Amino acid sequence: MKVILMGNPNVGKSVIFSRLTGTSVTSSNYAGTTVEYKKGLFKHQGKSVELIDAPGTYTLDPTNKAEEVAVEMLKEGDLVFNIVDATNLERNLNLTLQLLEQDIPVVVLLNMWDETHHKGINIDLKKLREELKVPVIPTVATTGNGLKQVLDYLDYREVKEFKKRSSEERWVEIGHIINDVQHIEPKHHSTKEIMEEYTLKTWTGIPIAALVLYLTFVVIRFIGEGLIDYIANPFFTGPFQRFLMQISQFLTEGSFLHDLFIGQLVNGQIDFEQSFGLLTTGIYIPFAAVLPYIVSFYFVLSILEDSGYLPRLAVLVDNVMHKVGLHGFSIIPMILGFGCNVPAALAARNLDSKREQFIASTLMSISIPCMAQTAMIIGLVGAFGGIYVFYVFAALFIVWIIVGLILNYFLPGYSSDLLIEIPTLRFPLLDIVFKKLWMRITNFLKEAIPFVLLGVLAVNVLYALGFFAFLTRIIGPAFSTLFGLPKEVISALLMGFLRKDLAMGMLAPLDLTVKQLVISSTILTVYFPCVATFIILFKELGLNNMLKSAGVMVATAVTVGTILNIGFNSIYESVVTMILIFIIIFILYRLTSKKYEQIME
Amino acid sequence: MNINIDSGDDVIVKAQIVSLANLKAGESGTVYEFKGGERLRKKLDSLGIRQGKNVKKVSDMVLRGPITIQIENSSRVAIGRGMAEKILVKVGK
Repeated sequence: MKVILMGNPNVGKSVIFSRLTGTSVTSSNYAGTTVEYKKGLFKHQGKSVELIDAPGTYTLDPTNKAEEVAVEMLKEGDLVFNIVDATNLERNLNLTLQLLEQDIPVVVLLNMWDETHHKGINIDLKKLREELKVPVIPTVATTGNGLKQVLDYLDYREVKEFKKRSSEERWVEIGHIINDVQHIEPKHHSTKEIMEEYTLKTWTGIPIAALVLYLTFVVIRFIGEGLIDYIANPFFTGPFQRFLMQISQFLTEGSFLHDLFIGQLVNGQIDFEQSFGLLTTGIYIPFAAVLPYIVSFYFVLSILEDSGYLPRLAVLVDNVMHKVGLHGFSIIPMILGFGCNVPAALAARNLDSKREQFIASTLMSISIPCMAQTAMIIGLVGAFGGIYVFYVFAALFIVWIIVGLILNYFLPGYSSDLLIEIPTLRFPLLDIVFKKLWMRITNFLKEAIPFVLLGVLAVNVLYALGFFAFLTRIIGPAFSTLFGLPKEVISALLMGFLRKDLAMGMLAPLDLTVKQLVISSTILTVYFPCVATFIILFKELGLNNMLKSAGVMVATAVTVGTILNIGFNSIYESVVTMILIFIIIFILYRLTSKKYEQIME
Repeated sequence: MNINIDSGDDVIVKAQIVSLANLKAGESGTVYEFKGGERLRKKLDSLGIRQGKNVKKVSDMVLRGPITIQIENSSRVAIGRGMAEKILVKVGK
């Protein structure tokens, strides 16, 4: 049997899903993150049940794509569990009544039941059941209370006749129900509510956001480096290296199999970053260099998501986002992009228009390096000093602003307005955070390892076939003139299409100066997303727009690489270049503001 | 805009109609009218913002940023400036 979970965003739907199925699932406090719906299987009294977590929706009269998906799913179900926020009954009943009008059995889960008492809300369950004529079960998703009773209703198949109503008639009906069943004792503003409002006000919200982002960065770095220094590196440079050296001796250096599995020895030893064999670099990059950062990034992101803070960030950055043709909501794909560009490109789907989706995906692919690449940038560029890592990110940020302003100016139309619910802040449930973390890590390993191994294999084969030599001869001269980079970097760029972390790894043996490393890291981020992201862009944007987006990327990469190469050779030059950049930003800013004013008139 | 409402016992009470964008932070009002199309009305309706609802403005972001409101007995919602200008509320008795 197929059971669909339906409800407004932020009512604890994903947590209930997770509790019922016991499997890992993305559960987030952010309105609309679950567009990729989750399916879970479980057995109850010998029967197998398929549970579907539909995207959060306020209405069955869809206003965006995620809601359309939810409505589509309804057609496939045998039963609907309608999850309702008991502390916000009136608004939630709108969806409930719409569901009751459909030809499908409905069971109502009155979630957050425990919070009604704190808020002085009294709901007469008996009366509510009479009014709705369907089972109504109070639940507390965070503790799992009430979910056992919910399972007793898996075989519920009664469809009650409800006449179809217009939106106005429905609200009148809801008004009657609320009058009958709900009584609210007026309560004073709680300290928590006052604290929450501080996160939304300009002069307190911005410092809080700065602190949150700073802490996010520090914690990600702390956990990531900790895992590398105390777990990954000791293992790899210790027992694993000794084990591989034995294989190396067995295969004898220089043989074909040795080159393939172990790669080149550096001073008679395996160098995990430079050897480039399947078992050396091919295992080292995903597990030792990247995985620790993936773990720490997604751990922190899951906490941020489940705490309900992200929508507040969207409010704070909304005015800046408007300048690049987006609104605050688009901060979500941007933040997701720092983990992996693939889910970020998918999340861009939730934006209001095709125009916003195009701008957001393009900006994200151009200037947000994924965690795999960031980990390698920190490892390689950071070895010369943290300031150089900062240069890379500063360059990417400027690219983000300028490309955004240009796209906003030249693409017809303008950005729509923000409209999101701000959920209450809550402490994330650690078991849910870990479930989510586990799913994201296994996803990463499933995606990354085959690609990295394939990439290492491809590097070895292409190298042996002389393909790299051929390519470097053709575009090499232009490359060194424009970017001041040795021709060998071209092979890394080529590899970047497959995996960015691997491409960064290919820079390691090239003995680049720090300036060359900064330039190549920046170009490597900007020029193209990896093939996995590319496929998503193709699917989401269509061939035409994907090619446009790719065109923007290549043009930007060439421009940025050249400017970084020729514009920053002395302090004097750097100052002039920066001033020119700010003048360009200012002019573009004025142009887009003018365009907006004209449209408004 | 000012409107006069006859309250019944011959006392004329002044109520003021302002857009949500012009409401001061901390002030409350009753949703009066939407100056937009059906699409806007539908979007707001699904979030529980409709005629007659009491809303309180929580905050106002600088540089034409969004406005956050608290809907009575319901949730907090952030609304972009342009949209907030299209939502008229009635302030005062």
